[in-house]
Amino acid sequence: MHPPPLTELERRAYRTVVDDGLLDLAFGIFLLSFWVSELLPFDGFPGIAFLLTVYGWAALRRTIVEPRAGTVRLSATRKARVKRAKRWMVLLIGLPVAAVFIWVVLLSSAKQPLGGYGSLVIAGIFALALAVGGWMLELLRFWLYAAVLLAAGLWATLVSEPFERFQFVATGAVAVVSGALVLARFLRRYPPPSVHEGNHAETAHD
Amino acid sequence: MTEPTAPGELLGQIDRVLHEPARLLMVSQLYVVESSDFVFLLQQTGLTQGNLSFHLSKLEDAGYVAVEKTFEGKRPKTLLQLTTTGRHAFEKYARSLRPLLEITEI
Repeated sequence: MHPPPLTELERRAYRTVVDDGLLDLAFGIFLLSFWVSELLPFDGFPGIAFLLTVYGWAALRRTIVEPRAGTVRLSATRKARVKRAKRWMVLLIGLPVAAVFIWVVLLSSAKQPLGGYGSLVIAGIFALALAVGGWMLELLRFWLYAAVLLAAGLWATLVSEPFERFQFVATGAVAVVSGALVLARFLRRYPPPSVHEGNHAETAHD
Repeated sequence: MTEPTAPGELLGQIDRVLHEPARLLMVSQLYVVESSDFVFLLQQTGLTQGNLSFHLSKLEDAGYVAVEKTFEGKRPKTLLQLTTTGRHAFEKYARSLRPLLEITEI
């Protein structure tokens, strides 16, 4: 068996940072908050949920992930790539959302400014950002979320789903299940160091 | 045309600190990241805590790895980083190994 090349070692190090499932869980729970907000008498719940998921993600990383997998500062090249991916995602979401907002609020006088395709347009914008972000961050399961988002947006458009945020809730549910599975795999792969038995094959102590 | 280097001379150029599987694995791992803590290296190399500590002290003595012991809250934390000397030594080791591997090519 050949030892892994350096690129593979670097990728493995990166995977300890992103393959714990917590990002998927936080993302999924945030999207599900749109469904919860439908049941509440006020509209601001997704904003509160966003803050809670960010705080919860950081707290769970500190208490569950770091004691098991340790902490690592990634290489400058990897950090630059992650930064670039984040910028692209912000750009891919920000620009179209701004364009839609300007069209809907300022330019169009029609009752349905997006001609009944609102769900699909919004789903398309976020799906594209998820797909590009997932590709750049090497998180290919985000392609699944993008596909679900797009399919749910299409379905909501075709059947005139009365719940306008249906696409977010469907994607959120898939992301939560996927995140839980990834987290379970992570916990199996990284037992707490106290019970970690390591490699008993002693190396030469010269 | 230059004379090919004798195998004995090639062997003499090998860095003995790095020419040990566990230490080579540790340095390879630290080479591809900026820095890490002890637990990360423990999990990635699969070595035992004692083994890792032993080889870490060897690398620290050689000036290849910088070890910083801190506290995160009440938890002790050992931060590890490959020094510039360690980085250069690893690159030189990889280069010096290549001609030796060519000799043993079957």
